[in-house]
Amino acid sequence: MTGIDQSGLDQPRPPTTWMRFRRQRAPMIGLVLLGGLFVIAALAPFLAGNRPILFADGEGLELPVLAGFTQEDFFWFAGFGAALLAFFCSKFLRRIRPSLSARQGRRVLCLLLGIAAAVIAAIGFSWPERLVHDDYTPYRDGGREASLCVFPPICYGPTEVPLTNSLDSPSLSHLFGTDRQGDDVLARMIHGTRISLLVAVTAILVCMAIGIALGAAAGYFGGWIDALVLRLIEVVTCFPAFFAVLAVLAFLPPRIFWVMLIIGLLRWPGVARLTRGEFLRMRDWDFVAAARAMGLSNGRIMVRHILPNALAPVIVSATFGMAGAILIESGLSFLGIGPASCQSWGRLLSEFRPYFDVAWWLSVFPGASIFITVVALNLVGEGLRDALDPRLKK
Amino acid sequence: MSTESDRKAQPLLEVRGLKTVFGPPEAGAAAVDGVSLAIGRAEALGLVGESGSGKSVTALSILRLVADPPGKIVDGEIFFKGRDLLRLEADAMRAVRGNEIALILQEPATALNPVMTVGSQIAEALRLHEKLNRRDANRRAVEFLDRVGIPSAEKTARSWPHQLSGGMIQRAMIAMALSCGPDLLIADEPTSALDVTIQAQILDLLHRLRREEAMSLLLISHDLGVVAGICDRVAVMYAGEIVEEAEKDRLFERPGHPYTAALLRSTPTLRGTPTLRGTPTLRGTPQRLRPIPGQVPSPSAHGAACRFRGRCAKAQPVCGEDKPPLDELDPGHRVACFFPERKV
Repeated sequence: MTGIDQSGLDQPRPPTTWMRFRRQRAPMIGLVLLGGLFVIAALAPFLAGNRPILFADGEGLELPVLAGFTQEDFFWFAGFGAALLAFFCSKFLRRIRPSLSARQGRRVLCLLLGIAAAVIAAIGFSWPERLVHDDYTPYRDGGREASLCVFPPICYGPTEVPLTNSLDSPSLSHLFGTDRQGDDVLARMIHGTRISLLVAVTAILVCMAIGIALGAAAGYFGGWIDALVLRLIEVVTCFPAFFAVLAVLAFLPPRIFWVMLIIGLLRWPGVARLTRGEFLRMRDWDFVAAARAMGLSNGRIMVRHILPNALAPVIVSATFGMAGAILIESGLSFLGIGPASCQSWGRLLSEFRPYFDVAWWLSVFPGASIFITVVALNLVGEGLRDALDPRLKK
Repeated sequence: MSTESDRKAQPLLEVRGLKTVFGPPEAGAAAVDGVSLAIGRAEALGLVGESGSGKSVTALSILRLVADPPGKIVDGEIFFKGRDLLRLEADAMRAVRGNEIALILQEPATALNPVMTVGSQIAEALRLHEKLNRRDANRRAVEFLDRVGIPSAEKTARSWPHQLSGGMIQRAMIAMALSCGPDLLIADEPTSALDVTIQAQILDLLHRLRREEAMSLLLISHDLGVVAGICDRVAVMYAGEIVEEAEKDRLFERPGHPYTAALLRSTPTLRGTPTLRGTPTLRGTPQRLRPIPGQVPSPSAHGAACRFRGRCAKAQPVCGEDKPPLDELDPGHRVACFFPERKV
């Protein structure tokens, strides 16, 4: 065979989504902020708490932070560790063993992550419910001495309730001031980060699971399925999300999980509509026709062929949806709805509200953190949109 | 009731009175209107006609891939190896697609999924129909890429569709179509989107592979030259109907239907009319290209009449009153015209 056009093979690859994303400044700032929030959430006990990270007093080195870990602390910390592991493995696995193919590399990575997940789940779900009685605050406050005692940078627990230093303005010892009970505001906010992120991620996962499934079926099959899903979308869109959550929470046990679930259950129509549009557009494309002509089943065509091509706008809308979910949760908490045990930023604002006029730091810092998180998510969303669809830009 | 000898004489694919309608059931427009054709084992049939004559819809109907709605096969039978495809369950039909009848589409640019590597798309069908595991399927995919003349097949198998040129993708599509060893290959304008040198290579390849695999071929094209190159028989479609069908040599030398004759006259060559091999010849006197006046009538405007009469130089009053049947002019040469051309 001669004269075969082979020019395409040696062309440089077009820029990947990540390369296009990286070029945008504002979305990158947003991404760094979000990454920072995740690190803060995962490492909360190491950043703010009244238990020393390292402690030695004659009987060898201790790690009181780890001894005081709750189940929640463990899951966040271990999840963070697993994510780090995955990141470094994906970067260095093939450098260490160049003989591995890309597929084998992915397989090893999946295996490692699977083992990690199993270990984390096994330890996490059997985490002992224990009460820690030992109190290290005298070492911090100067009442006692130890040969080695390293506290977290913010050396106050979120709920110490010392009832001294009430409503102190921001200073070097309390960067964001203290609240009515004398608790450090920054420490409480650091521990509240988890709730906001958890709400955003869980709500959006519920949202996407329902939205993608219904939207894909509607767009691909059309006909009565489409009509049914569209009616359902119209009905759910009509629910005012805020008041629907209010109404439903009245009948459910006050757990943050229900708030996340209901937010997800109410916000899927947007995702469904987008997915439906993409499937509708793509079901007549040639590669879908080719896949059908090869005898592939509808399910396989939907999952393997159309969904990966339809995912881009859905991911973008999911990012915006996360911002929306955080706002709803904050609003609900601010109004005092939802579990009181759940110290989210909105809940802090609600608790601090009577003192807003005498202590500006009580409103500014938690409010700003909600604001920054939402803005960061929106920036990332816009950056993703531009990076995933270069044609859209300008 | 067919006996064993009957079954042997049966063609591989026999389409009888196929009618595919688009639009609402009552007022729908028939894109394919009573098409009958047959393809024997290891035979290559060319289906020729201008845009909108229903060639592609015929192909899609055979595989039952016409989008429903708006399209619907309302009448006819499609016998493939003795089974009526129109009566098969969806599962059984899926087992036919790709495995026994494969399809090559017109537009290489969009025929491959942009987010899957070329090799994995070919392997997917193999894993489905031949129940191969991933490694064997990938190896077979590379083998087939190699067979269709793609250099460095392993590398190509790992590359993404956007890295390949149109000709390469069409080769990959052929590899995909052949991978499960189909008995019938339907190629819907396989070369129309390619430039001429690549066209010749692809046709060459199709011709060679068809011989090697003893595979039947339904080649759809608007280009008589393409069909002339590799087909045994040719059927000419006009406005949803087959107007003429004959052995290739016969059709090109003695077209019976005025439309076929006009089509031959409107095909550009270096000199003279197209010849059997599809290559222009220097024999004969240069001829002016003569376009066919008018347009294909819209499917909703058909009555009981010859559909070509509005553009036909030989049209008589009877052509508007009755529909000419597809009758045998000579053995193996069927023409739907009241006044077929008897001589060259």
